[in-house]
Amino acid sequence: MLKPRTYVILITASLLSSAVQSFAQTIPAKEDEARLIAVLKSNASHKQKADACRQLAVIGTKNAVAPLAALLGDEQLSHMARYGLEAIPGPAVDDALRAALGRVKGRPLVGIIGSIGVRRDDKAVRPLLQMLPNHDLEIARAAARALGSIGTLEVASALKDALQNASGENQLALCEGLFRCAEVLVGKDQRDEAIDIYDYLRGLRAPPQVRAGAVRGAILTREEGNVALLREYLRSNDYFLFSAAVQTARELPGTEITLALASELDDLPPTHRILVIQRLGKRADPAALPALFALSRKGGKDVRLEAIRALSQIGDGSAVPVLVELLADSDRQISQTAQESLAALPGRQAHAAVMEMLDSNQTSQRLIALELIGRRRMTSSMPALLRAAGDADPEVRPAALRRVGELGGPAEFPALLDLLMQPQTPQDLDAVEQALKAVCVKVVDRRIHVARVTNLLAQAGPAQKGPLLRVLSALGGVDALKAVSSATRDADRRVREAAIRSLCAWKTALAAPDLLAIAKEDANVYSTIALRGYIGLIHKGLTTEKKLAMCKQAAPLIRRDEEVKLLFGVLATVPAPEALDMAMMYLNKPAIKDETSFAAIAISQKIVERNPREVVDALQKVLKATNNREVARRAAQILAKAGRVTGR
Amino acid sequence: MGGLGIGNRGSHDLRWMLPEADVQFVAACDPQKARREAVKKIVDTHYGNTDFKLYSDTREFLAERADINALLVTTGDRWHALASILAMRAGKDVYSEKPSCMTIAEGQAVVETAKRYRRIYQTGTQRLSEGNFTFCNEMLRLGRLGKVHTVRAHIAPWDAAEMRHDWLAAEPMPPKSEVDWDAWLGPCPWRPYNSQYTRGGWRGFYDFHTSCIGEWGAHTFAQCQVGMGAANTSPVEYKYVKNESGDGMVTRFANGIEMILERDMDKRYWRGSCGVRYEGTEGWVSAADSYSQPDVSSPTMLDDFRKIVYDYQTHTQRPMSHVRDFFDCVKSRRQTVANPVVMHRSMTTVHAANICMWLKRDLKFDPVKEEFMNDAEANRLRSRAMRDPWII
Repeated sequence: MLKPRTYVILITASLLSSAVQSFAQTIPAKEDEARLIAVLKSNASHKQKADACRQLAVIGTKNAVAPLAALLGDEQLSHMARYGLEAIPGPAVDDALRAALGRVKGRPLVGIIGSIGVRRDDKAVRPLLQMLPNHDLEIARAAARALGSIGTLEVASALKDALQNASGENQLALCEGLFRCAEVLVGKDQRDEAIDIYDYLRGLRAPPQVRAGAVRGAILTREEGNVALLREYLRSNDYFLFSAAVQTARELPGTEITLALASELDDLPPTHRILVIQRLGKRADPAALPALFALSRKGGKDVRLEAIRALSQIGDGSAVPVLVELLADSDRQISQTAQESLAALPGRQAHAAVMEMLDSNQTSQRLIALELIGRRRMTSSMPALLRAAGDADPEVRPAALRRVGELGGPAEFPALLDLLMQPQTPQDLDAVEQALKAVCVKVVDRRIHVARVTNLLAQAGPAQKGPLLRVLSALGGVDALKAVSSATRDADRRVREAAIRSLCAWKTALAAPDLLAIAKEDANVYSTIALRGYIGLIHKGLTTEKKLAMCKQAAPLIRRDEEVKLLFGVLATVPAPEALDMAMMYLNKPAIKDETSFAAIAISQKIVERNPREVVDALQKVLKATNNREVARRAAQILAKAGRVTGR
Repeated sequence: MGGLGIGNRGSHDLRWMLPEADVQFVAACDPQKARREAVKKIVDTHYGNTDFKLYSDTREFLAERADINALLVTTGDRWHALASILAMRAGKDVYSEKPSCMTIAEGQAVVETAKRYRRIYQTGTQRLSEGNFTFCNEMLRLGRLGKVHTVRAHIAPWDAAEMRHDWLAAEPMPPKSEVDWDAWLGPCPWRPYNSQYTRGGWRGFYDFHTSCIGEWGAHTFAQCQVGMGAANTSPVEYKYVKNESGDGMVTRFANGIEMILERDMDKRYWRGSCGVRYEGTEGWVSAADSYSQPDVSSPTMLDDFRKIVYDYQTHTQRPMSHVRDFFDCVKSRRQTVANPVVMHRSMTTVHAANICMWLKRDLKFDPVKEEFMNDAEANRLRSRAMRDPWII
């Protein structure tokens, strides 16, 4: 992640760079080809010719081949000539590159060989074979790789011959060539020949990565005997070869492979077992289930846990009874993992098992069922959830209500309101309120719901009114605001406070005028709450002008330093000199001098380009007033910038 | 472990990796002397000795240090794929910084090489191993958002999709022992030396960078594609947008989900860097850097935040540490969370979006054949000839 300072540097660099953008764009017009070719033939600069090559790579036709090929021997431009040529389709390019093999030397020749490999020109096999024993090792290695990309039987034979006496990097280049060759032969349906190559490579005294790759190729390429070979390497003591075989199974479909993996499990050491179990899980083949059932029930804990996890990945309903049985395991980690697997296991069987648990007479079982209902998104269980929400068990009720909120929608709104209106404990009331608020988010036509809640408000007692007001706040809108605003004048103190706090929590600034009116009342606890709420609403997506106007309304009402700090939080986001003036009014209050200074700095940073003089005036006062070194440092930085802007 | 091209970002990764008890850094290679020595200072200070060895030539480094199991590749973007390929051929596992390839063809070559030699590879999209982003992905996987129709992915709010092709003014070439300019350029077209490039000023140049789209798209596209279960494919459509950056480009996957590229300058979707947002029929979730918890459409979604992240860790056995995941996989030989396919497919999205912007037209892509449909020019931009001798 880039740090803020780096971010700023990058943006600045970007602005500077855009000023020096080159005229040479990435994509030229199609009709530019002749002009670009003319550049190549002219005395144009290296840069101009390089640009022409790059652009011909996109639009060049056979007309561009000869002019580009003429540059292949040019040490400076050979690469860019290939850059152009490599992308142009057609045999003319292959002819040109092949012809250059005989006349170009050194590094450019290495590049030409590479381009021939990229284009897979089978007519180049002969000349490239002659380069395999080249004394220039770069050329020999490039030839080995390019030949491999072309991939013929003749190439395979030559690469094997060359490997007899090769070592180190040469050996690796020849092996790379053979790998590529085998892959090309498979593509041409010459599997037996490809298998010969892989078998040769796995028998070679070569580094582990070559042998591991050869094991993969040898197993994958075989249409017959691949299972036996897979088993052979599953039993390998060499972890690299063993893991290569396991990972290769990822690329092989079929139950036969699944069974081969599963049948080896018993004889493997635990670390090897875990890798195989993970692979079986990913294969999602139910054929592995009997072996996994057994491992999930007994054996080392790590192996059991992995087997339980794999059960959910396979996703077959027959795992349900095993997982339900494991929920009761004495080892908490095992039972927890079984629960997670049951949560992730798709299908009706798992659903039915969960519903059966919900009907249990044990609280612990029912709580697990409620947890699983949420994790499995079992919306069809809503009637049962609503029943559980009114259950006699005090642990079950809130858990059920949480699920109703999570899974329910507007359809559950009336039932939840009914629950809210019933006499109950504060905890239950809170749980119903949370569920209602969660459902509010999904409400599309809020007017109907607002009307329902407003009607109930008239009949509700003080304990229910608070939650109803907060639900109205969550629903939002003009009608809801009207009802909540009216409740701010309720005779009951608790209702009045709940209404004011609901206004403070409004999702938009719609509630601001009501809060301002309350804030203007004589100093009391409600006016303080309202003022703080009013300032809190200034953040909600307003224009600078609106924010400023609201700040101006709030400022004269402030009586405590806490509210000043809240106001600073808002002012710091307002890029206007008036905001700076407002902040500066508090500079002479010792208790909040630092906060004032930081607010002034934050605003100054935003406006210094447009209002340098106002910034200078303010920050000079800040510098005089402060003892804080950080304030002084940052103020000085902005003053320096202001100086640059004004030309001082 | 060894390091290749450890600079600013690499030092961050290095400091992240050094405390791991089962890891020992033994050598690094860099064409710039100052950077080599800075790395040595960090490592020697950490281990309290002077054993750390330095190399300037990549191929010599790889050939000589058979004892090194894994490499941290944190060169500039131009070298990421090539260095990873050379390292994997030499038998090393690789942790590569992002963006991890310059072209679609380079990404394919990384995938092929990792498969060919059975190497472990992790691209440095570390948010795939962070709690907030994991939570978002799990909400999607668990169906908590209903049917997901739109995902939004942050692209860097600086630079443009069209990049620079100019050369900075030539400066006197420093001694090769100080800066090996030829090696620094690696597979990229030659241009005259200028010290700005070697100090990070390579960003924004077509030869070295993958634009504002790749800068953060390398992270956010990978996050979105993993989240929506599309880590092994790429979008089938890219809709050109008439602006400089690709902001608002709609890409569509074969399953109908749209991924929209967002600069989000007015902070509509998130409030930090590398943001993602997933929108479904039952709600939305979003996260960006520095969040204490993700933003959600309904507060109750966060009730299970810890549990969901914990469950992810237990059922995948992946830690909430990207480097730890890499080391665990080096040992177990199982696939990393940001494996070569995740890297290649998400970077294909980056490259295709860039190509769409350069060509200024809509594109259709066949993710099976990995080619653009009926667009020869776009297909030519899938690869770039590599400069000799750095060919693969």
